[in-house]
Amino acid sequence: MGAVAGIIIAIFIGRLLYGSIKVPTVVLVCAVKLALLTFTAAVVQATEVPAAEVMRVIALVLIWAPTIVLRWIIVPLRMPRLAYWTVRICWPLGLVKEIRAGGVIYGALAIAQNDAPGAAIRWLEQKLHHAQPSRGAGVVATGLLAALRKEDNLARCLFAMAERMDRRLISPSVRAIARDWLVVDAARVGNWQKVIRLGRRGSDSMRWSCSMAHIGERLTGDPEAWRNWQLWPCFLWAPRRRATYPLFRRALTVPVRRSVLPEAAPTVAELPLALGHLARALDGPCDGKALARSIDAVDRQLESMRGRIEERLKALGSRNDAGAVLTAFRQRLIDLVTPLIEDNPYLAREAQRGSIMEQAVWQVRRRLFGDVEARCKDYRERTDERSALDPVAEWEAWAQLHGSADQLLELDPNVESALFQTVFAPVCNFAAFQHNGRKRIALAHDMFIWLLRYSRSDPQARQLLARNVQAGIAAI
Amino acid sequence: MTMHDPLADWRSNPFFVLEIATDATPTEVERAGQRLLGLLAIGSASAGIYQTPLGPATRDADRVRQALATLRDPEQRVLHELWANVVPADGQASSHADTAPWKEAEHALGWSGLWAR
Repeated sequence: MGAVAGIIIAIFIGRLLYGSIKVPTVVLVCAVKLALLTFTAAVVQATEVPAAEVMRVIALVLIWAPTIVLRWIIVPLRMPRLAYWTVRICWPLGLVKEIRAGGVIYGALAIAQNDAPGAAIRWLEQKLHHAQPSRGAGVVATGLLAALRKEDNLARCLFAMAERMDRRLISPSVRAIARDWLVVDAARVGNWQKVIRLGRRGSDSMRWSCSMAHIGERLTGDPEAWRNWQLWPCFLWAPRRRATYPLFRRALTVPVRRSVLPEAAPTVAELPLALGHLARALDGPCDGKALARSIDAVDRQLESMRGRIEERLKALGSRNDAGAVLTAFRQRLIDLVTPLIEDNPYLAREAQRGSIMEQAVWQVRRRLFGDVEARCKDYRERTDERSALDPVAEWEAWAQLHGSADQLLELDPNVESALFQTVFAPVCNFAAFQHNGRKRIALAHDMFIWLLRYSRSDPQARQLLARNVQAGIAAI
Repeated sequence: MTMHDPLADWRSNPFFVLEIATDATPTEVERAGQRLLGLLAIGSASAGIYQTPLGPATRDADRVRQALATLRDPEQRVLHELWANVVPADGQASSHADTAPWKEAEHALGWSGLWAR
């Protein structure tokens, strides 16, 4: 019987090695871990080592749940190299397809406790450059390294991309790191609308970001906010309760209101008061309506200042008229508002036609479109030259185009068709080059999926993209 | 509220930087500027910080010189007079919301090294 079983196993392994049987990598890794655990237990028992039970428990944890050791011991001890090699040796199941990138992630988290030494970051960057193939974990690792280098905008683009990536390319635990970073990034500056949007991801929701979203709804006075008896179980179910508790207590003190009370428009009779309201709208909560009203109030007061401006210009010996000053004032107003809209594109929804805020939105839209066109031009040229950057740089480039395009769509959903027509050919051809020429399946697949999402206006393109996405799924 | 300070440019208004009234004469403007340049030259720490209706800000000699140059142009002066005359709005907090930032966010998660300062 033993001989027959041995022959069957040998045939199985032989067919496996020759590729006629496809077994998922996770299954193979589980089998290896089981064999390793059995072997370790046998050795411990045979050698009669003191504290054998303790040794068996340690082996069990390291083999089957190394992320517990990583999260609770190695990362808090700030040992990036140990974290990296623990992942490489112990093969956490959530990272089997990207072990090196997974090692870099935990190495980066180990030095994220404070300002990281440059040597540690460079060591991790070298390890990441050898990581193949590059998928979701590679993107998150690149994002963490960008964050450690204080390149916040690049990190934001990479994490935003990883957070929305296809499930086949990224494990839930890695996606959670990207999402948690984005939530913290928004919460630390009080951008609660973004925290709420990140937590509301339907079937892709995660416990902590979901809990933070509900806390954010309560903090902003959202009429849909949960009451205390609903918030408590949500909070208790989520991780990081001790860290989030002070914020949770803050949210509980905000009363729930079920109707939105319309805020009275500021009836300011003078420019200085209108400017005061504007300053508060700029520096306060991200409220599009309040911002639009305060900008309009300033604009309305300007014309009434024309006479006074003329007098001042005359007194100072200038021959210019008030028109030039008013134009310059309005331009400064646009310049003041533009960065706010760029960081929070959803504010643009409140802009009225012909208003100054609409002009600021137009300025942001023009800059973002210019950025997208420049990156598409780069893709076109590199496709023609058959030239590719290293995987990390390609993901960074794609993340930045992806980020600008997503900002544009959030700014004005009506530009979807125009945006798609701009990006479809260069990005699709470049993705095909990456897929066929460079075998960067994950990168190409992410590009095709993103294009497919916005291809509603072009049925032919949609069919082509759907075929490409299927080809990517088959190859992953 | 955003990734950058939306009021930083406004706080750099030349009248704020030089800490003078909007009806100051050209002589008073020059005098204020030279006084500040002198203090900054000897390394006075208090001269490096100034108060505005929109909160405190920092200045250096370059910023002071820039403010002086700006106010010598009549059109620029009138423009900045308009921006400098600001009456801060009543800072009553809404009882229906508490949207202050969560400043301890990154420290709470042990990720304080991941953001630029």
